[in-house]
Amino acid sequence: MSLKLRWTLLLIGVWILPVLALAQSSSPAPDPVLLQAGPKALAAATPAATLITFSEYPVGTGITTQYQNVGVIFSGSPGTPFISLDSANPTAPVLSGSPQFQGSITATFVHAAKGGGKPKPAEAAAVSFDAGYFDSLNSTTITYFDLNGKVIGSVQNTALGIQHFTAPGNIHSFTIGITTNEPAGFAIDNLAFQIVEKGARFTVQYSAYIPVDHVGGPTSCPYVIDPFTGSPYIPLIYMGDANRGTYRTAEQITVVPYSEQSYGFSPSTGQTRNYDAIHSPVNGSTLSQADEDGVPHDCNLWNDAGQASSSGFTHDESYQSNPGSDQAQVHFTGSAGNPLELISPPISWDMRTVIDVKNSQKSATAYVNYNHTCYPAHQVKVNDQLVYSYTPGRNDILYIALCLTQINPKIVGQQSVPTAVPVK
Amino acid sequence: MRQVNMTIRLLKTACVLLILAAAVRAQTPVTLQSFFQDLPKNFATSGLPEAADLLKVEDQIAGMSADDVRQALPTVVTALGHPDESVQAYAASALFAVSLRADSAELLRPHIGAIGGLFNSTSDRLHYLAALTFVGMKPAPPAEVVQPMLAFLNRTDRDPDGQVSALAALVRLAPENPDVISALERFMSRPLQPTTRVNTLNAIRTSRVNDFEVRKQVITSLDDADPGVQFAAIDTLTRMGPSALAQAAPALQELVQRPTEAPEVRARANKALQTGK
Repeated sequence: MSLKLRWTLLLIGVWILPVLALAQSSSPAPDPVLLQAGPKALAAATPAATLITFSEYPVGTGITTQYQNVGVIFSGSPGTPFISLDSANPTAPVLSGSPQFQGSITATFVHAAKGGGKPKPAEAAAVSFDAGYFDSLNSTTITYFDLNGKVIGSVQNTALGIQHFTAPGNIHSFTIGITTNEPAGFAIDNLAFQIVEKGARFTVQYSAYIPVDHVGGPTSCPYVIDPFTGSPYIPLIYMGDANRGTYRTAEQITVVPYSEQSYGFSPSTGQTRNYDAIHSPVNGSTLSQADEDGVPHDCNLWNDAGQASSSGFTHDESYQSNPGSDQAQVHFTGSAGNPLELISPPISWDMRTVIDVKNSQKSATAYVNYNHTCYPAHQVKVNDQLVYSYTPGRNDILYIALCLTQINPKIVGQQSVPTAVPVK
Repeated sequence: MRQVNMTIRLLKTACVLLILAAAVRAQTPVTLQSFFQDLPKNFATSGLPEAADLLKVEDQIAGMSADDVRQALPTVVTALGHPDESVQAYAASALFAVSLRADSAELLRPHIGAIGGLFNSTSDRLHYLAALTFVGMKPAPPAEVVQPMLAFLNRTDRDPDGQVSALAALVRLAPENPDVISALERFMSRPLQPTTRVNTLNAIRTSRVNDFEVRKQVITSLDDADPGVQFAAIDTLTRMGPSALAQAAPALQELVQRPTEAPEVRARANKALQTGK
């Protein structure tokens, strides 16, 4: 178990569990209508390819596990490879064997062990690299191995100078070394690869949304004096997210607990729209096309639109592996204010989703450790399965103000019963 | 023996009276006035009452008579001076609840000084509640609300991000007040975090401020390194209208033609230029 995760679980157990029962019992049961109204899933991203140029560390650095977090470790014979200058290579610095340009180099692909444990063997696809500068043909041999250590291909340099090599399909490792006469030796550079995913993927989505059609705002429309009443006070209403598939704030990421990978982080905010509360909603109940007059800043029907920044939204992931179980924790935090009501405080959240994969990646559960303002609604889905849902008790201005000023305290706790989530 | 019986009878009577008193007390609804009268004592003995209890009291405010609110307000305002910030926040939220009433300007006017005093606190939520209360006063806030917020905005020893609530309230209430405009210009000249600058620009955008000098500050923000600031500046100029866009046209043109700018920023600048034509 990673130290960070272990401490988190300990703290949760000691401090938060007593609060849990209270917080859970006070949370309304999920409303099917509201759940449908939650944000639509964002498209899941795929892991990106990795390119190592050996410019990442200073010249002279011995290279072993420095690139483990991106999926490759290096070894060599007789000495440890190191980053070197190379006047014969236009893309230097390069990775040289030891002795310089003479020693062999082995690259072994691994699943990044971000939890601090031993990295798991991995397959890499689309492996390619440059090697040279070759002064002799067929002087240097590259041997490719699979996960079982079996040789799946072997080639020699067929060109002088710098030659580009591409592995024959997916490999676990390769070794490059001088096998005949190469007087000035060789080095490698521009190693590209893509770790082949192994294990189940889980897309974790957090979102905050207004669970009704519209809510009242705390201030008057600022742009005009109402010509009809002569009063300067024109109340505003704000479009909510119920039955619209929209949201106020969202964060999403995909994690692979087995290989301790994460990718596709996507923070976002929904558009904020306000309307004058005297004439809208036109149909008397819900905002509709009839309220969209397209004229901004006139305090009549649709009045203004804006979008909050998602620049402060953060995420971090941690992992732990035990026999028969791989665990990932996704931690989202953020806050965002109403871009059209700068006088109002922001909504905020700090949500940890723990995913536990068991039975050789065949089944998984998830639970949430939550901490968020009591307005608006907040939810967490894992692979589209709702794991956590909080719906506020009220949607009026007074309640919202008390929640956002945290006079009505934040909702804090941890789910005691994990939810089964689909394995993909 | 007789004396003992007498004592027992007296004790029984006392118990019955105590139970009756407790029952009567339990049935007496907690009012705005009684809640805040008892708040310091309750806080000292058993801590802060539940927020749900506060909400119950604040829910009554909309339906109270003006006289009852007027009578209760001094006890609420007294709680603003309590040394504990959470007690102050309870009182400030009650004043915000009063501001939602149609007669709130008349009710709150005598207490503007006390509400304005919340800006001397270091608590952001007290600033938010004070600003919301001032802006919410109906049918319209009196001019006296400007001064406390102006004094707060002019302070340079406070977190600028926490000052945006007062700034936003000021530009809404007094968009043509020269003192407000000067304070706004000074604030925008300070080194601000991108988030604070975006919020400041959004506050201007959602107001009727259209001052020439402020426009110049907004135009300067077009060259900010943060695309979020650039977006907010473009949108603010667009809201300000054709004359602001004309004033900004050279800077917008430059933005459109600068290859190092984000494509989204260039596109938004181009759209603003088209809008201004």
